[in-house]
Amino acid sequence: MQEIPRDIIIKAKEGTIEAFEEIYRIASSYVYTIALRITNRREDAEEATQDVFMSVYKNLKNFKFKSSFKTWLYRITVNAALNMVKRKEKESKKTIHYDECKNIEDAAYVNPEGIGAADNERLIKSMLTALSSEQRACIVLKEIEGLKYKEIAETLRININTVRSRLKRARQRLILLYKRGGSGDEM
Amino acid sequence: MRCKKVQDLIMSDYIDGELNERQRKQIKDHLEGCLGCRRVLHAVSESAVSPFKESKIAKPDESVWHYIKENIEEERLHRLKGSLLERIMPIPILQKPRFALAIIVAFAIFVTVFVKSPFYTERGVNMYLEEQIEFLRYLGTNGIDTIGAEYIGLGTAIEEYFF
Repeated sequence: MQEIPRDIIIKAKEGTIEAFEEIYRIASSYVYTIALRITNRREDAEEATQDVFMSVYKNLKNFKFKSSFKTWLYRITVNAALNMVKRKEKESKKTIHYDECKNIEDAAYVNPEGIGAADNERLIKSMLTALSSEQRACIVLKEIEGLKYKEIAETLRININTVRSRLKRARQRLILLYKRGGSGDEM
Repeated sequence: MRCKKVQDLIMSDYIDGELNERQRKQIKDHLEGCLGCRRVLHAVSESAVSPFKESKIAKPDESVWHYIKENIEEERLHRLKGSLLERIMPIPILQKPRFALAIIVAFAIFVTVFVKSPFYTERGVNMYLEEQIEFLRYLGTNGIDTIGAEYIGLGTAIEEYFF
């Protein structure tokens, strides 16, 4: 995501709706993508995006430029998306376990070589479903947003070693899925 | 460098570009001579990294912005109502419940006492009016003679004109 100019943030802080809309136009795709990858559902991602920008609107007056605006926004986004996942899990009274996922996703997670864009989207979706929400958040911020470990740690308010460990575990899971998908490769 | 350590780094810092130049070279040198670790690197790249490289940025529907804008306007209206209420109660003392209650009670006592005062009961007013009417009637009839008798013998010639 490109950096949002400081003067636009200041105008939005003062209550200028046009400045706030400009922030929305710059950031909404990134916010929505993160929310979509974490929640894995379009409707939930839209709701999370609305929650994020309402939260930004209400709390912008308290933003003091101590951290970068991008980090602050990512933090609100990940929290909103994770809360949405927890809420939906409670509502459906069904948690996604790795073993359940394994059965569902083995069928979908085939050798990724030569697949089209739509198939790639399905593949990413199934890969992310196989991870816990915390691992998903780290993978999304690393692989899709390209953040450094330090930025991920700041966004999620966790230790940098925790970032490292979650990414490692997430990748180990994905390798296992890939292996069960019948690529034929032996490790 | 041991394979376990290298594979740990391949799964994290190496593939994520978090190592410095010297550390990267150590890993590279190890990979050149180790098939097992090269296979791990291949598996991580194929299964956990490459699929995300093709990932597209998704765009939310325009209805999301409309919903946000509506909520913002509702929020502003709500704040405006709150600030109008503050404007019609400028006296800070009224914003403190205890002081406001004390003033109300004092006012109630004042009104009660004032209303019960003999000067302000209907009975009191009627009595006063009756007295005045009687006095005026008195002035218009025999009262004059009676009054005149009081002034006879005061030694002023003007008495001759009146009585």
